[in-house]
Amino acid sequence: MEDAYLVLSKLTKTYPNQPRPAVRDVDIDVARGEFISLLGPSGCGKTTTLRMIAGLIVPTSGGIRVGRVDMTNRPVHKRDMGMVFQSYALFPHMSVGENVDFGLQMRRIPKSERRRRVAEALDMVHLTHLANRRVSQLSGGQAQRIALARALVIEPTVLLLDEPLSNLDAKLREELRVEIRRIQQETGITTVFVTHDQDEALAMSDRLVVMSEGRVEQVGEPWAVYETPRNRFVADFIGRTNLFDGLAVGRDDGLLRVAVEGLGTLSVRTPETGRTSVTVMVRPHRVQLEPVEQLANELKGRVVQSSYLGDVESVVVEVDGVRITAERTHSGRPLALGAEVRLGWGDTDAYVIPQ
Amino acid sequence: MDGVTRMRTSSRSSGGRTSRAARAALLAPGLVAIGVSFLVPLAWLARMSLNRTVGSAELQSAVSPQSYVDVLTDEFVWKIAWQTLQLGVLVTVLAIAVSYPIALFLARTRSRLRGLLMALAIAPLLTSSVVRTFGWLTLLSDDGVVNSVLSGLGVTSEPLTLTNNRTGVVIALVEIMMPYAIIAMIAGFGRVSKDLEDAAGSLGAGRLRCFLRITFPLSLPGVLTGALMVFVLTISAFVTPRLMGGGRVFVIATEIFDQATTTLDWPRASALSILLLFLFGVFLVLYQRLFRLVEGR
Amino acid sequence: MTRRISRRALLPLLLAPVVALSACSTGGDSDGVGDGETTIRLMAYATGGFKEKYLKSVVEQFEKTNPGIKVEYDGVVSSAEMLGRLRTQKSNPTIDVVIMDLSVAESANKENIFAPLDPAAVPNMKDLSEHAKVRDNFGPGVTFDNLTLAYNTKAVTTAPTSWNDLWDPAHKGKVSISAPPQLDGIGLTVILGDMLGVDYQRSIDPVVGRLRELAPSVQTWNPQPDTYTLVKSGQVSLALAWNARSQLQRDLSDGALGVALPKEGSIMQVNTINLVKGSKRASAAQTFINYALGPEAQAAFAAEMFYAPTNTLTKVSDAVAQRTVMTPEKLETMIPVDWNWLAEHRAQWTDIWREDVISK
Repeated sequence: MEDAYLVLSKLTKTYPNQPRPAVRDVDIDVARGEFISLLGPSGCGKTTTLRMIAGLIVPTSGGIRVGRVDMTNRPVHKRDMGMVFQSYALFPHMSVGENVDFGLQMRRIPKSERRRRVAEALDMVHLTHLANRRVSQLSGGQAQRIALARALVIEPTVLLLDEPLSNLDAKLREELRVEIRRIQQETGITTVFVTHDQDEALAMSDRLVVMSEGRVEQVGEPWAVYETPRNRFVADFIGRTNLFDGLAVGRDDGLLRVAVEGLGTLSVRTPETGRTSVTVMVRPHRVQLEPVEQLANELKGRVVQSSYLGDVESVVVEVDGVRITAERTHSGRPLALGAEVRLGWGDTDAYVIPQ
Repeated sequence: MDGVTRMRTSSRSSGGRTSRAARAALLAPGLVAIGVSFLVPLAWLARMSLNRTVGSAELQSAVSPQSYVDVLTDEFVWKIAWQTLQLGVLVTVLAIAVSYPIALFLARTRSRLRGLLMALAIAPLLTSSVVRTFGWLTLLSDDGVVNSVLSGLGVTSEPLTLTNNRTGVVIALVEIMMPYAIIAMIAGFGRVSKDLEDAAGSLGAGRLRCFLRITFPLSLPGVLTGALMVFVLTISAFVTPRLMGGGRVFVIATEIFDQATTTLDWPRASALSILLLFLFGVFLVLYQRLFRLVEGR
Repeated sequence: MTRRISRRALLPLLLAPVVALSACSTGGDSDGVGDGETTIRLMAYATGGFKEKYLKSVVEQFEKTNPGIKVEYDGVVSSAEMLGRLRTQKSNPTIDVVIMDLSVAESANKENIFAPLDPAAVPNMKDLSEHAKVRDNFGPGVTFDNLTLAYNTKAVTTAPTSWNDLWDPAHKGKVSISAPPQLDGIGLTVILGDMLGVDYQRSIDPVVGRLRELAPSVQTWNPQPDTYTLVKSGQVSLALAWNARSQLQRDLSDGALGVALPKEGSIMQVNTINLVKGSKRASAAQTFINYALGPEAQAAFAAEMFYAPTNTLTKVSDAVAQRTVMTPEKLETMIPVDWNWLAEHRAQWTDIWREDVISK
């Protein structure tokens, strides 16, 4: 990327006595002002990557660059990066104001300016009135806002967020998600956000980096990663999904015909893949139950599971031994277990995973 | 809060009387043990301190403040009390200073060897302080290991007098107190965390400033607890001043021992013990005040 | 109004655990009566070979000649500790006979812990040396000991002859003195008073001046684990010591430790043998006391442990006599001591030593 600001190149971390590297050959370019999320299951190397950017872990090989400055061997306290921790990591022996002031003190900024900037930072997170509170008196949401203010007040080059919302309850999490994104856009700060929560990642990021077993599986905008996962892992990890392994048996008029055991032959509109063994992905919300119009793929099955969630009903239908998950959003009585249903999807509702 | 209330009500509703009786039954052995091993002897001690000694150590029953008056007006008692405090402070400062890095390391390390290192650090507790003091007597004597090494390296031409004086007492006491200091400090280092140090680092604090501004202040409760423990154990230490002091180091504990077992002035020994206890009380209060201060509550 | 500590209801109760513990260590609290056999309990020193030698040379022989009486020996480290134990069981003593230092025994006599002996039951009392006799037929002296100089024969090749040898610069830093309140230091004060021609009951200022000159030479005022171990190992060269234990240690160390009685004389320490007041076996106890004071027992113990006998009829070999103070020439040099007066002034002397000798 030409205007890349934060550049990770071939970043690798190996620990002695461990069979595989925690992080392997990670290449990520982040543009200035971009909000990028590292997403993956626990142990995928996302936190290790973030801590290497912060300077808290020394990479085994590879490099980190911010702008034109090589950061690889620079100690953490000279990196000018703001970091927010899952545990908030507020200093318990200081007041809220002192916490925010800490980074400015370390930079030996004159007192009057420090006072102004602390006030601005607290104002930014709407917590000016808490300046003299003890840290132990804060709620989780307040604490994390203060941590954010503390990280941003030093005007860092990069903001690093290490699962900052994981310790909060669901409602607060959603609230703070919006707030973080607002502040990030207001300040225009380049941000790397680590999370294992895909909803968070999808909702907040400009781009996603999906990681698994220390490697980058896919980088892309949230919709693109969701709609066109590069491989089976990404498809499975991001969102709920139906995956059918089958054989490409023919092709005509831009439609690929795929034979799937139990389901017969499916039609998928897709460019030429050139392979015979393929995986077809259909998101549950694309599957229609009792379709009213004619669809490219239509099946019959029996309801084996049904979860009524209020706004959505998630139904598992067994078709000749193959289980298919469908979601319907219209209201009404949920489907009874054992009921015979018809289901189907159009040829553009399915996607053939490239790898 | 909610959970507690619920628990209380539930225990009440399920037959409060039984549970109260059960609670009393559970507490009883401990209370009896404390009573027999501490309160009863203490009462006996207090009573004894009001008796009188006449002539050559003859004990007479009385209710008289005489032994307190004697003790408090005795210049020598004030002198040894002062020396005891000095010794306490010196040993506390040194023991904490030497143990602090070890405790900090043990509290933070994630090494698989942690258990082993921990055991090593507190293993000295398995031997009595008498044995360890005799060990130090041997190590520090004129022809002991320490002096041999020093003269072998050409550092000293004449052996340093490291035993039978205050120096020896301090060295031995510091070593004897280290395991206590380490245990107490590790227990008090709960607020020291890697995340906080990382946060300070990311905010621009170098190692030294991170230690001074974050790690050290957060470790103060542990330091304070360790210090109280070492201090109290030191000012009540008897064996080491006795064995290492060469008869030159007088502290309240050795004085009590002399009065109780050689001069046989039991009322005086009791009065001194009560005064030492009072001193402990003073330091306990002081400790609690300080603790609240560093905990920031 | 003061009242002697007596049968306070509380005291024995409070001390029950302590008493129980001390009883444990001596293997059961036998009442002593049964099968026509009486067991008496003797409390005496546990340390320095005393127990072993006394059992061998006195107790075993006594039991042979008095088949109806058994003696159980309860070893205790010091006389003061013995008094401590006796105080706690005053209302119901489990001990019948006690051997302890004269000055401590005097406190026990005054506190009604000991009872006077019956001269008819202890006929040997009449043959005792004047030094061994105690007022009102209270327990008399059973052994004499005296202060000496113990020296390491490797470090000190010519035996010291005078107390002044302690001041010899050659021994700087290699001298051991057990300071007051220990009797050793008290005794040395008396000896120096005699040498300097002052009455110790009036003033000991000149003695203190002399001791202060000694202070820099002293390695320890409180030898640990004990004087004799330090001398034998060479940790100190010259030490203020007691004759009996020194003689014993000389033999045990094959001469590594030497003993010298300085020409200026010495002071005698007296161990008395006492009957505990309220003893339920007073008769058997006095039979034992009489035996212990008899010439036979006295001679046997002197030969084993080199305590001088207190019974004037005792006959010992020349070799043994030479190693105790029992020869007339040596007895002549002994300095008279008023242990009663000293017991009352012990604390005062202790303070003077600490203030003006040790701390300087």
